[in-house]
Amino acid sequence: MKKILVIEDNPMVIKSLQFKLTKDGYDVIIAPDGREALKLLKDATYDLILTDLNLPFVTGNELIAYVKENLPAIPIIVLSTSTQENIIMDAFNMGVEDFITKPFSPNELSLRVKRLLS
Amino acid sequence: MAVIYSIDFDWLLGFFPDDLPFVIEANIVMTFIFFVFAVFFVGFIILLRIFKNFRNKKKEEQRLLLEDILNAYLFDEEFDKERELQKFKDEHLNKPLEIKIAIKEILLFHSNIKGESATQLRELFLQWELDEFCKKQLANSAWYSKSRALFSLSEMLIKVELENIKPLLNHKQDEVRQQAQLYFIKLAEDNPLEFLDHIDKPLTLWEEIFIEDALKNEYHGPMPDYSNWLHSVQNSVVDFAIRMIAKFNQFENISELLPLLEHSCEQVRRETIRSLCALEHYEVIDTLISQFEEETNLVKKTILDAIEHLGSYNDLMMLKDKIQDNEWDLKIKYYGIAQYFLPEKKQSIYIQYEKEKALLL
Repeated sequence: MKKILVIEDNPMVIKSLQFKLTKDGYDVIIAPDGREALKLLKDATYDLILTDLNLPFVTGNELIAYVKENLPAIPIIVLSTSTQENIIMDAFNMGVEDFITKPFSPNELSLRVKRLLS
Repeated sequence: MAVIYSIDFDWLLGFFPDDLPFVIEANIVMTFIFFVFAVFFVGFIILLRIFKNFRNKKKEEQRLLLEDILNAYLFDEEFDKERELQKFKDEHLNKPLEIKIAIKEILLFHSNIKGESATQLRELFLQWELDEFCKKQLANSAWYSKSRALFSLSEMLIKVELENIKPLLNHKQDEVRQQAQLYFIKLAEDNPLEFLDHIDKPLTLWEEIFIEDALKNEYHGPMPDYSNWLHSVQNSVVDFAIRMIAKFNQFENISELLPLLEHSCEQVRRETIRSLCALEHYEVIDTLISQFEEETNLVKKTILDAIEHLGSYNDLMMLKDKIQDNEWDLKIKYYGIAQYFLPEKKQSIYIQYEKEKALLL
């Protein structure tokens, strides 16, 4: 079973993502902030990271930089409320594989995850 | 006080020895009263706290139940929608508090989710008859309930008889008026500003910003022709319409704007000048120069700004003699703009200003 690390601080979004991705057949691990995510990344391996950008303690960008430097094989999808072009461009320049803006379509997210993990 | 003393505290005074001075007796009685009052007060606070904790616990339980059922409803294909949703409604949506939490939770989901799932949430809102609850709240509740109900109905795009919304456009509470305006904008198909014809109170600056934001982000129909409101009885509406004409580049309305340079309201005249500037209507400069002397101080400043934006140094020079000796703020502005037009003569313009100042003083 493929493992997905979800880094998100909104409880409602966490629960929905967990429910949807578990239904799709993935093993979903939750990190409520960037610091917890870094800890989890050091302890285990993941097939995909789904992360917000505005996170407590360690920001999404810092986390992306860490992953791309130390664990470049893990694809990253950003799930963020930011719609500003420069923020999206920055994320892609850092090497993220996909960027989804909130409010998001769960079905679309599911397809994008599937595409990256296939 | 004497009556209270004889009625309530005689039994208490019986406990005191006969030779105890009255002051001491009174002190003891007052202490006793204060103590009883303090006990009741603390007890009341504790009771309130217990009630609040109980209510919060109920809210959290209800919220968790809702999260589960909403996730199952949206994402679980094996979920028996018909049966489970009806069961939930019968068991958990009976009290107003439960219904309010359900509305809040659905709105929270709705704000984070789009696409087919958002449509499903709207269907659920209707299936649980939460719209009926909101409609009732519009009719007979406190202002914050009305405001919340309007917000919920507009978020879920639920149509209500506009006759029920119109009175709320003139509600005494700002929040209700604002939500009523938002309702009109979000549910409009072709005339999002229809509500401007029904308002009796002036638009506040905050409301204007809110309307503009809603028009850009919430309304998806054709942009209205703002010239329709240039002759409104509300000067704030005229002011808003003028600004929007410039914001949305409605060049075709320039001819409608020009007569407003002679409007009786100073603010409307200023806004007209600013909008004509923003629309880069250079021809207005001659009119502004000819009107300059009759204008108020604030409008004169706006005219100077317009000349800086659209005019030339020669246009500015035409105003030199029209500025009175005592209009120092205008003189400073005038020389500031002159320096803008002739940056190479900055120093000599400043010297000229100093000379003029010395002569007048």
